[in-house]
Amino acid sequence: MTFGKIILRNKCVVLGSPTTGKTALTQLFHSDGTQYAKTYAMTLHCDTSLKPITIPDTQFTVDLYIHDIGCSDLFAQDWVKYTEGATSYMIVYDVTNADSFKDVGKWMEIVSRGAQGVLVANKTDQTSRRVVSTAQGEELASRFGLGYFECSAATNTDVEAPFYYLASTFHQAFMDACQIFERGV
Amino acid sequence: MPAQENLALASAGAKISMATSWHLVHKAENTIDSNNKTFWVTTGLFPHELILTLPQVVTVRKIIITSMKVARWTVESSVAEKPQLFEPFTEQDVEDADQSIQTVTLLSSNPETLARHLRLIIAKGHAPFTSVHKVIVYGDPVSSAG
Repeated sequence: MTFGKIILRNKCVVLGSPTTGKTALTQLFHSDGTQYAKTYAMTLHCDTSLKPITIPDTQFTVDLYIHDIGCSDLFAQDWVKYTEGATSYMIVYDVTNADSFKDVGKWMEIVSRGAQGVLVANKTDQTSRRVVSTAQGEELASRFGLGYFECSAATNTDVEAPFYYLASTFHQAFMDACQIFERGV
Repeated sequence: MPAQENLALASAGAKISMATSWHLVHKAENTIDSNNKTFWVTTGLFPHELILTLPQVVTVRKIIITSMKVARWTVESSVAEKPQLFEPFTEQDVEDADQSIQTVTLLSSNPETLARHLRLIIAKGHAPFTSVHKVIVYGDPVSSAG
């Protein structure tokens, strides 16, 4: 058989304080920029969506099973259940909301160790209201060993980049794992 | 007592009826090709499973599996003509062997277990991806008086 895509499956959980734009980012990415919720509706429990991402110049597709988790304290007892088995995660904060930035450490405690993560600074279009700088974001990301990304769901700017990064990192992890399996004795 | 013979060999008529992941090179059939170097790779998330179909119904004495990064095996068996109507065979946790191969021996809780099909389920992994290098099944055919 010479045809066919090799499909890698990656469960990605999206965490971060309420109203930081997790659902807007997820829906915008999932719909290729066509769906943006104009009114706020709190995510209840967990919304899931599947997004296949083709890795350029390979025969691999990463199926990203995105779990957009309701991060209101109402659902705190279920967070461990929703994040179980995740192979990647995205922690979102709002650059106009210092508290959401302070909470990043709290979300780090929930994610499974060994998974790949990114820190996403959202709402960068709000330049005059911004209170968390790029340098602060980068510093925190490097302290936690996360990739750092800035974006704006409202203006659909750079929303895909963190998802592509997670897919690409997962593909690389698979290639590395295969090398270890080939050497195994 | 006949000499122990691996029944899970493609050359002896065994086949893989189903696998939950596909890779061009590291395919499921590599687990029954009598080559230790080749392997089947799982491609993310758990559970993953293989259904191994033997040429005939046998009394399964034991199953030996070599793998990497598997954390838990759950095995079911079936005597049906088609791979369906599975019943529990055994479950076993497997310790991480880091970058070495794990060798696991699985015995049925009931020594008289008959099987035509074995469903080998990787319930959990120690890493996002796991490999299965070889599946060996020892047992005695029941259909012919041998």
